[in-house]
Amino acid sequence: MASFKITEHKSRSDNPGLSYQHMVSVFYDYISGRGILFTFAFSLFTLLISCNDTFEPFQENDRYHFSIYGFLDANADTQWVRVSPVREQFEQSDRLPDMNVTIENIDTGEKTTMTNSLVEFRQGFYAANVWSDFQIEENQTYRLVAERTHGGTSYATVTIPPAFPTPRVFIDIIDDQEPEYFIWIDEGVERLADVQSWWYVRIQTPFWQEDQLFKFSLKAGAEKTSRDAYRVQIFPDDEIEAIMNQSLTLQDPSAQLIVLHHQIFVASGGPDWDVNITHVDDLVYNLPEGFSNVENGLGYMAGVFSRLIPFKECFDGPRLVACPEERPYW
Amino acid sequence: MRAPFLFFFVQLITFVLVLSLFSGVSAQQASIQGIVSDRTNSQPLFGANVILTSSEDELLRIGAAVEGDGFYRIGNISPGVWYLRISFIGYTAYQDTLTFSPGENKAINAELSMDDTLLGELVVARITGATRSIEGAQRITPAEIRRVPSPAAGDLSSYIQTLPGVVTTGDRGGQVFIRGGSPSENMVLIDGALIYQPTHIVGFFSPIPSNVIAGADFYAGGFSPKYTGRISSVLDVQLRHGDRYNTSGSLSVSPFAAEVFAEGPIETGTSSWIFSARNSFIDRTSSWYPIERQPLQFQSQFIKTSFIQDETRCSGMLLHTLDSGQMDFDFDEKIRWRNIVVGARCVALPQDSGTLLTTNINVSSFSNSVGNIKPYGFESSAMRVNIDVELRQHAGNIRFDYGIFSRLKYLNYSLGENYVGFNSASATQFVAGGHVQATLPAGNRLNFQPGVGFSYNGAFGGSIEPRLRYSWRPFGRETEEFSGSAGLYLQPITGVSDIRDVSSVFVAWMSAPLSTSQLQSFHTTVGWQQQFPFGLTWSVETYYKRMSNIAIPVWNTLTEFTTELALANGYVYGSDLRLEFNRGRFYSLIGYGYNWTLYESAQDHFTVWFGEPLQEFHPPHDRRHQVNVLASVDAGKYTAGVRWQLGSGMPFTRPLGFDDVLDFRQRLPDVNRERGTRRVIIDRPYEGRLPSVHRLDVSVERTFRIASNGSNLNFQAGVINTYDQRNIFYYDVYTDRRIDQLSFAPYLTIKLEVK
Repeated sequence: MASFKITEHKSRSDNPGLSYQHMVSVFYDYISGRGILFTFAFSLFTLLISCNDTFEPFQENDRYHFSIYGFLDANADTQWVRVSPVREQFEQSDRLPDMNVTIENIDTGEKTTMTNSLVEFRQGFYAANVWSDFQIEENQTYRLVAERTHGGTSYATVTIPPAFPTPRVFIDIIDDQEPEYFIWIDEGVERLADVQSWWYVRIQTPFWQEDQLFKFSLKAGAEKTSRDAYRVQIFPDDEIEAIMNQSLTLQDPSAQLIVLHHQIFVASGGPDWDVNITHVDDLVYNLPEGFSNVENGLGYMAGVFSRLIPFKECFDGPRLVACPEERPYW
Repeated sequence: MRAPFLFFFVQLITFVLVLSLFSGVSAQQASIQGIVSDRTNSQPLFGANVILTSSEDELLRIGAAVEGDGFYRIGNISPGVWYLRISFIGYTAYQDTLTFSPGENKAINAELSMDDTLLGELVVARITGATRSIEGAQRITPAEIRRVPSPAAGDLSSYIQTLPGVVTTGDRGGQVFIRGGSPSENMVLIDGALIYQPTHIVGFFSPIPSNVIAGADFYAGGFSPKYTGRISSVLDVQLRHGDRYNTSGSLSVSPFAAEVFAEGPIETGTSSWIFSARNSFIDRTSSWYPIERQPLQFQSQFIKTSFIQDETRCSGMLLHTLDSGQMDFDFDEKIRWRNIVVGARCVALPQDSGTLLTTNINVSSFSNSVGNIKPYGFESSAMRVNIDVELRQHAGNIRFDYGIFSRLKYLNYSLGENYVGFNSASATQFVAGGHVQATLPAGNRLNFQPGVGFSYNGAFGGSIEPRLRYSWRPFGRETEEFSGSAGLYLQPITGVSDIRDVSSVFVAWMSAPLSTSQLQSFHTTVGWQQQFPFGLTWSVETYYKRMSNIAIPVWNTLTEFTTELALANGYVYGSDLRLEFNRGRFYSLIGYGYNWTLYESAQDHFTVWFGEPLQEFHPPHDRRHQVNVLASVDAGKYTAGVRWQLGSGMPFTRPLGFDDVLDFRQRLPDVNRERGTRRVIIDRPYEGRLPSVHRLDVSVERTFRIASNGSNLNFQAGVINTYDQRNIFYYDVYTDRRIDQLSFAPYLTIKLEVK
């Protein structure tokens, strides 16, 4: 608690002799007598000084010209790669980007221009892809170059790995136990890039039907054996259950799931495939240069050799053999 | 760092205590204390004069000014007969003749009755106002609140925003950043109860209507150990008691909101009630205006009952607020929050005890959510049960404030993010502790207030928060004062908001980061205030804050809210300059605030991102310059008010562009079937500055008496953003959209007061 000394403040009229007080009094009289006028004048003043700014949020970008994601597959008929200029809009527009993308075999010098394509996803979202039926060969090095008409080039270089033996599917049935399903990948895969289970299904109701493809990655369950082969266990029942859960239509009791076909996709990565990619942290992976092999751009491109086989056992007499390779069911 | 500070602190207290004891007076001296309040509604009459005049020498007078809680005390009274006079502007003075025996401690509570004929009498040395701080607190009175042009006809939120050092993001959301601190680091108390989100979604409406406010103490920093649990600022609002003798009420309507207010006696003379309710209209009425539709809704209800006896004043109150709306009008994502505060408070000054006792029991509940589709939305809630007892005693010249508290807190959040998964957690904390503070006068010009807060927290163990305030009147006059403070502040819980922009209102309340140590801040302030006799006052206060363990979301490039936290240290310095002219019918306030806030944070992925693990940045609330000009004129039948505010641009993250990330980590992506995850490509966050914002609000008010009993009809016409400045609210770097504040918006508020 602060005590204070008593001070009697006299009114301004009692202190005419103090010049600074007199000046303040004059100012006070002026203000109090012309309050509205003062307010108006002040408003006018601020009106005059007001101006609306221009706001340009974007920083000049001369570092990242294109975003490139995808892989070149020596066993694919058509090569599809996501290539789009780094855009200044949140969403990809519904127009093809102004760009020229080429693919070149570095070893032979053979080169072709890829075709620009726009993919429309549900809810009206778009993505820009390029495609080509340029033949990709094993053990060859390729460079994909994306170039803007008005300047700015990004490129990625990948090497395709050698071919590997066709994987086999085998089913292990022991007495009355539930069967166990395995994929056997013989030696020859130095860097396992992916193992996927592809389900081609038809979702059908009394009034409507739709064919869909569901893909499940099995790479995390791949075990390397002592003979440099890989063994991957697959759980078809769990995958079917996951399909049921993912499809809202299938929540309807009248809906039906029909499996049209089931395939296994196995891919081997080239020498530049980073086998530690699985362990890259979310934050790092999503950084512009967190995980990228694109020069002057963003993204990641891989070179792979893949095999696509039906999910079934094939025998040559009593001997389990690899089934003939297939093309995608659709 | 803390050990030398503590050592110095203990040495200083010892020195000042010894000095104070030697400068004290003998035990033969008497004292008087009590509470001074309004007779009808028991409001403390802050600033009232209590004067003792010696019967033997009329020139021998000693006195004190009444504090914010109505308490006064005069010590060092020589035994004998004294004339007591307690006076306040517009009130009939209380007078008595008292005889003091040696060592006697009298308790005199006075209730003053209002008398309009006495408005001319004024002898008050303690002047309130925006430029004045008393013991570190700036006292805010309802009269000052009403000076700010606002459709709410004077509002606490609008007033707080006029103060230098207070940064707001705009007219939506009401988030307040004080001297570099974040909103979750501010403590707002109403009658001793915490309110977690003390804002309405329309920034110039406070959940606490001005007509239920008795006064408020605002500490922008350097606050006393009485307040523990927050590290940035304190706004301690005292609410009115209802009128114990007469029933009255008011109804006001504006395009923004309607408000009903009523008060009256329960039992005449001893108990009262007061009620206020607000409901917004702006979402429906905005279509009448030349502005875009404002999908903002709020409502609040408040009720308080009070029981007044000679020695005790007990009250109970309930406050409920509910807000909902869209921060971004073009984006269909609704934020919603609710506060419920229930509290009881008793203030007692028992005869002959000499101890002012304040007891609070209260429960504060808060919940907020954002998002329309469950489970892909965010939800968080917090609840606090608090019991505290505070006492004030004097021993000679030394005043002691001390108390104990116990608090139980429950915090919970649940965040569902598309494609990312769910993240939820809950925590319970029990905290018990207390505080001790001494006010030690060292001579007539120096005043020290050393104190310490101490607590035991189940999650963090024991902690001690030493604090010190001091003031020096170099010329021996109260009108010129040098003051300062230093102290340590801890906060065991944290509110995490989305880092993408400063305007994010959703708060995920959680235990302090990583449960390893509490948020911590060290404040030091130095200031000077001076009052001239012709109504001009000015003050300047310079501050420095060092904060540590501040929880910030980790930096990432994806459009997702994350509760993955990183720790940051913060450094803040700045200066607040205020110039106030208050004379007769004219009032003006010019405030300038300079602030410099820097955070530094080390995050694991910074090495990959930037090549080094530590990054320094100016957080998105680092407004460097802020100017506020407020003026009001009582020009006869009209009262005109003007407010102009200017704020320099705040930091934002400049994007380089956008792309879609395809994930190779689990499988080879199919570019024809996978869209990818939207990514903003950024170099370094917060490298850009938004444009400056400025706005002029004006209002003109006139009151008509419509009945002889004092019933009035009041009209207030005003305009928000008079010159229609296009002020940016925030830039959403993750979606590349600019969201602006309110454009030109005229309004008319009609208020009917019935008595």
